[in-house]
Amino acid sequence: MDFGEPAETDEELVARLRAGEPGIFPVLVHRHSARVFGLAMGMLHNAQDAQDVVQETFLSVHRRLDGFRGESSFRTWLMRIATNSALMKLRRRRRKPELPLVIEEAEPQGRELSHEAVDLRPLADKVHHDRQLAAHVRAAVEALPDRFREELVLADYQGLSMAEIGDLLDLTVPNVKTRLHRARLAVRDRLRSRLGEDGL
Amino acid sequence: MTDCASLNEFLVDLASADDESVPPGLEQHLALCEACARQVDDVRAVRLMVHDALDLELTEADQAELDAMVLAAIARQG
Repeated sequence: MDFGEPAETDEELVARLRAGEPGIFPVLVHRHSARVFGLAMGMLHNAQDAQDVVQETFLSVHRRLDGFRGESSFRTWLMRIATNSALMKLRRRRRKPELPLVIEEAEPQGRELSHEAVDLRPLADKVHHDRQLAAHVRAAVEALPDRFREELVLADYQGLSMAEIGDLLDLTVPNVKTRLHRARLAVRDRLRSRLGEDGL
Repeated sequence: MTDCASLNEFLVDLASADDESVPPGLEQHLALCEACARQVDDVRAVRLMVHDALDLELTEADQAELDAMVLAAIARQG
């Protein structure tokens, strides 16, 4: 299958699609499916659910393409649909109230750090090449309560602004910032603990 | 001169900012306070690590399967 010229933008592809040119939609799917899958895995931690989100997202895009007015980039529009799909699935499967105990136990800001604490800074550049380290990070994210994990994934993986996250989650920007920061501290602490156990 | 308490606000802003430059005043504090400087670096490190850890690289076969599943669903939808 021809996946189009690399320089061709999504918006150009959408224009060709709207003009009735066949074979364009598979190009858009191929270009974005992995990222949608990554977003859904980050939020849901379940491959089947993530595949469902990918499918629902592109079905929705296919149905609503005529409504895409180009006020944001196609990618932003698509990822917003994917995020909503993942959030809906996440909320449907929640069966019990969340206990934000993990977050509450994150140390107060400004606490003096132990000199024996694992230094995360030199590890930050290694995650992409170190599967074990990446697995530790994903486990730390997975351990977060849903509502904190949502924000972390939306901010740090998808790169949404605080205002965009606030709109999606119906939160004020200061609330988003505070929860996101606490989520990061919790991930940091879990990572330190796990990496310390591994002797890293 | 900024004190340690001011770091909280900066860290919250750092959590949201595309521009991670350090506000004036805090830079001087960070140069003197190792604990605060470490916290700033930690938050930045966590951001990078979370992004890279979630950036799953699918194999060509996995991606082909995923794409085929999507296109089959669209074909069924008509």
